[in-house]
Amino acid sequence: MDPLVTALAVLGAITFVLVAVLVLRPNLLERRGGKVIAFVAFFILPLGVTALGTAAHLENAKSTEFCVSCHVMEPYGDSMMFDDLSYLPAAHYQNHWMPPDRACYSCHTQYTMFGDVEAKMKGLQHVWVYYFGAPLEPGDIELYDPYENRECLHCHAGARSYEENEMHVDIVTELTAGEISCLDCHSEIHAAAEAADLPKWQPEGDGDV
Amino acid sequence: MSETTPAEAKSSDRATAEGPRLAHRLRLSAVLIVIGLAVEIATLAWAHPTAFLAFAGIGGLLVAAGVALYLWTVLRFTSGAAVSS
Repeated sequence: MDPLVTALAVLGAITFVLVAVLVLRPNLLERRGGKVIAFVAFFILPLGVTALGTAAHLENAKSTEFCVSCHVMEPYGDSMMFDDLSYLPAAHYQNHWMPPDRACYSCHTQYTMFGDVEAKMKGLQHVWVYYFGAPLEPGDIELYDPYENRECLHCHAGARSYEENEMHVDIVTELTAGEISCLDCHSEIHAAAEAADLPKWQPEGDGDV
Repeated sequence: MSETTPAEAKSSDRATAEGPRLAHRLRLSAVLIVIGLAVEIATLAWAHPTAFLAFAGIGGLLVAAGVALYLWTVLRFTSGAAVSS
């Protein structure tokens, strides 16, 4: 079990015990010590657990499992298992070029100061649309803004395989400035509309990537 | 010297009258907080957007209501005592 979840369960149990004692013996509240315990049990601990729980949920929201748990995202998850490694998600996921358990988040978070916050806010908006709006079909989903090279260069800039690649050498300046998109050449991405029909990689062993 | 003044007697009467109400509100606050925390902790076992909605929309609201009720009860009781004294 996640240590944070364990800590929250322990704090929750402590809160439960303190609250139960104070409810069963309300005369404790007449003493100063009782009032302090009540303040901790009824105010500090519940808010602390809620704050830590929020942090745990936000951390959870970075997981690949979380992202592909909505059915509109399933084809995007499937694209990471395409057998054809010319598809970027498949190559990155299957070769562990990003942490497999943070696969979506690694490429779809803007690497800016408020990139995390923006991603979370958009995520909440998506949840709202999923339940109360009209979610798009998987093949119709588009990014809000064109995909920025910055998200690729966050990892690839400085890497020998990127810097010395003969296709990159002459256009490194333009790539860095975003004048040429990485996706102009690396255009095989999620192919969500065809994801169900494309052959998938079957890992040996227990199937874990 | 140990005689109770009218103001003290009034305060004592008021405390006696408010005692059960205070206990009742604390019990209600406790129930809200405990159920809210249970919901919050339970949702952490599930990696799905619905889990976050349940965490914030059910657990968070119950805990917030419980904490608000506790604070309101304490403030009301304290201010009542202050007024009485």
